Amino acid sequence: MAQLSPSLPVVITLVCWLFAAIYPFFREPRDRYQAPAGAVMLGAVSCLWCAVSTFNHPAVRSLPLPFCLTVVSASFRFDWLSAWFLATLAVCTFASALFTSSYMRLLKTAPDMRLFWASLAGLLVAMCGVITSDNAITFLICWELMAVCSAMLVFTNHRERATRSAGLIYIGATRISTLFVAGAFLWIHAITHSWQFASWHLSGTIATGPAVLLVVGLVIKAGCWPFHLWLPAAHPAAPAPVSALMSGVMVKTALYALIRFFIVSSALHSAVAAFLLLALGVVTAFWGVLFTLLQRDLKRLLAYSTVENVGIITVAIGLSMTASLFGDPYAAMVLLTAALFGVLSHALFKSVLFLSAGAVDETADCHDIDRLGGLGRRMPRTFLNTLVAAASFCSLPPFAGFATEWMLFHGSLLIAIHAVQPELRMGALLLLGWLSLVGALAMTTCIRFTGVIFLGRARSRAAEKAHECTRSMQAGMGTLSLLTVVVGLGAPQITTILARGMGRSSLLPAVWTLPTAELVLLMVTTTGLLLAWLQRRDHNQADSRVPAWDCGAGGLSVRMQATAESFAQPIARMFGSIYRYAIDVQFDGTSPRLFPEQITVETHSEATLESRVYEPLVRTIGRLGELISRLQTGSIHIYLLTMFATLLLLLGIAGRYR
Amino acid sequence: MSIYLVRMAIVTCEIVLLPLLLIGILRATRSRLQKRKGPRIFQPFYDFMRLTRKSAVVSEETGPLFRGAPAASLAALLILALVTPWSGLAAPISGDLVLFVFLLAAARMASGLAALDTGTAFGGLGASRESALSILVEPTLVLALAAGAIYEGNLTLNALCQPANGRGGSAYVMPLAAAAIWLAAAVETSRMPVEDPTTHLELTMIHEAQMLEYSGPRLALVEYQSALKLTVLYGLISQFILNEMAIKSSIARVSGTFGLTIAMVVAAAVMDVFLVRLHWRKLPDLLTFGLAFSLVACLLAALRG
Repeated sequence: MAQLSPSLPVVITLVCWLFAAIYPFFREPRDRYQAPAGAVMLGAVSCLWCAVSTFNHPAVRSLPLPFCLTVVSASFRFDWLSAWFLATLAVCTFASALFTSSYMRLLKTAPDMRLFWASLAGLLVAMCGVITSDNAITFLICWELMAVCSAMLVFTNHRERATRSAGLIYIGATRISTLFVAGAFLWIHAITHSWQFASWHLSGTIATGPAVLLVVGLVIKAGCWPFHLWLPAAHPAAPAPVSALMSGVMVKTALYALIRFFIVSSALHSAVAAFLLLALGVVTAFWGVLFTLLQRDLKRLLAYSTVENVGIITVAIGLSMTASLFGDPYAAMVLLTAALFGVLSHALFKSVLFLSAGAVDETADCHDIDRLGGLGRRMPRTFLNTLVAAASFCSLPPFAGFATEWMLFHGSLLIAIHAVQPELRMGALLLLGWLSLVGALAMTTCIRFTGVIFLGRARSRAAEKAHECTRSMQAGMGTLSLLTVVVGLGAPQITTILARGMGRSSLLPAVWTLPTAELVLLMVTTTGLLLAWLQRRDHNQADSRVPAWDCGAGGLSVRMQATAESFAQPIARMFGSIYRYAIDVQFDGTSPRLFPEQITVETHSEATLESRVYEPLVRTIGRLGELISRLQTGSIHIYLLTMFATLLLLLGIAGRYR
Repeated sequence: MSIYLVRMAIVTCEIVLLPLLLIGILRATRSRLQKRKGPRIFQPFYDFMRLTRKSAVVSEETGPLFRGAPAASLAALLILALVTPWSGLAAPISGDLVLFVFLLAAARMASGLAALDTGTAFGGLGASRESALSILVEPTLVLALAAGAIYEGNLTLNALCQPANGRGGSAYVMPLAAAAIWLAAAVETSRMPVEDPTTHLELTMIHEAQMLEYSGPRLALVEYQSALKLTVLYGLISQFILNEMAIKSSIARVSGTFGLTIAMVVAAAVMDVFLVRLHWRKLPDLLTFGLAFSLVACLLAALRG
């Protein structure tokens, strides 16, 4: 099984990305955009090739001797699961790189492109490594490389203060994540005496400890509640294509690891982990979407919505584990497929949304959505792409998001019908209601996001002078939105191929039971006919263009439109206790009640987790740090004393446990 | 095959004729109850034809999305009408509850975005309120339909009109689910006590505020669309009631559905006359009843298993 020689597509991919990393160091600053982007794209194509060939011919590949890592050799497993994530990575990378070269030119901070390309190439290689690694040491090395490279990318605009603090929060989160993951690996190694994933098979109570550690470590990286804080910090700070890659792919590597360890390789069988994931996912999805609704910063909003989507995928993974624990392999397979579709569809539409946010931010020079508006007329193509992505986000048919949601609902319904235990049936039903609540909230956020930015009238000078972005940026977004449609329409075929990859094609009929072809035909004909009829009407009778209805009061001003703030207000009131939402209205004037001359409205909301839990925690750690720093007196005598005391302590401990 | 074609023909005829007829009946009943002479039952058809011939008055601020949205949302609802067994016959295309809910959502998204495109205060207000209510309506619909699906042991919507077990007396699963959908339908079709369809006071509007800027052929499409939504939802409720009564033969089901739908329309007219509109911030409390009904229906269905 083990092959020594790496295959051709792997070599091409690595060479291309290496070229992209090195090339800018030998070029003038203005030549550092096109060629590396081209090389990254070429590498992405070859990565897709690798994914496709992997799907048909799974293999384990080890690197030759010099790459031995003292205890084990660096080895990589290429199977259907890796192939799925490699393909996701390849498409996202291709589109982001297409977008990057002209986007980075627009940036006002003029970052150093040498560092940017080197870190980007490093990040891509590291992500591929995580997705394919076959033993714990290789995994951890790639995991760390991924953390370092992505942190470097977050720091791209390091001249800004906000970026620096965001980068620090992100690095902190990755450290804690690695701590837990490494702890789990060491624990498993202590039990199994092996670093190879293939020889890990733990079940029963012995698996609980490492499983919980592993889950915690991975969900920190994935951005689950209550560890989601790094996402809304890091995403607004990083350049748009980097955010697209981090949210679209990097966060998913943690989900990959969950699927790999808990479902596919069955390294750990633990009911506790399944329920923990389910609970975390449920809270995460709800929390993420609730806070998406109140955000006014373009990318911060998208970061919170990533939290929501991660929550939904985590629910799918947890539910799949639960289904197989309770002996329903078919529902487990449907839910696993839902999770995999969730990974792909989220990567596609969230990348489009991040890229379009970047385009809006750079051409309108504004990232407060309450100061934008009416951009649909100035950037029609960006608007179209965003609309497709938003529809996929709301899981509307026929886009990729619908396929995900359909399979997730279908899987829970299967459990609700076929499970033997009534409490499991009821649980699946409650989950269904909860998911549809989250779905409806997600749609509200989507209407708010798309409507306030792209529709209506421009709310500021900045929004008025926005213009369409360059061709290559449009092409980057267009590729992904096209794929969103293709994946949505091709869901029946893709699920069949996936089932074959899983080796489960024998298990019952197809996952997909909707008559897609008829539905699509029907949709195209009805929409087409209706539009054509309206077109003919418009052609025969010209509309009279008048100002919008203003109740006869005269003069609708731009500020009378619904803002992002006011749009979310009804829901914010409903969930006021979670947000600590409050509205202050003040009337001023000689007779404020009857003839107000000036009305001031102010809303307050608070992210409770940050202000109530994390801030006190960070403050306490800071204070402890100050206490320790008192030891640093600068006097050599005190240091010698400390070292002597530590030595005694360690000897004491060693003597005790000899 | 011929049975399929006959079914398709009946459903198509009903899609074309029934929605506007029901609106006509509703308006006529309402005016009789108010001791007015009122319009003829077929008046909505004349209105529809008149609107399609008229030229439109369009706001200067609107863009292509506003102009295309009525077509998109009507298309979504037409597909909905073709995948749902609301007429008492099996739907021509087999759909399931996920498709049902997300097609409704697609129509809602199109009209919400179109409302924001007008750039007026009313459009935004309507879209915002409709979305806020949808977060309670959507779980209600999903859970009520899921209760029906679990009770019948089949995930397709068509199972609802072909009761497999035909046990009747479903231990309250079906009536509760029907009640839940009925409450959700009050929001979706903007009837009393959620919204007063006769007033044109903008500040009290939810759904109406979104279509304020439409005129001419597009208004015709939008009005037909809300009539179609009413027809489909009432027809769907009828299926739950007919299952409770364990009625199986196609002819009995079609005529039963027709009768029940007209009864519900008359009830809606009575409520229009005798109920007052709730303050819109009180609406979540009312909708919570719907959610509670559907949850209990689910619980009972799950326990029964």
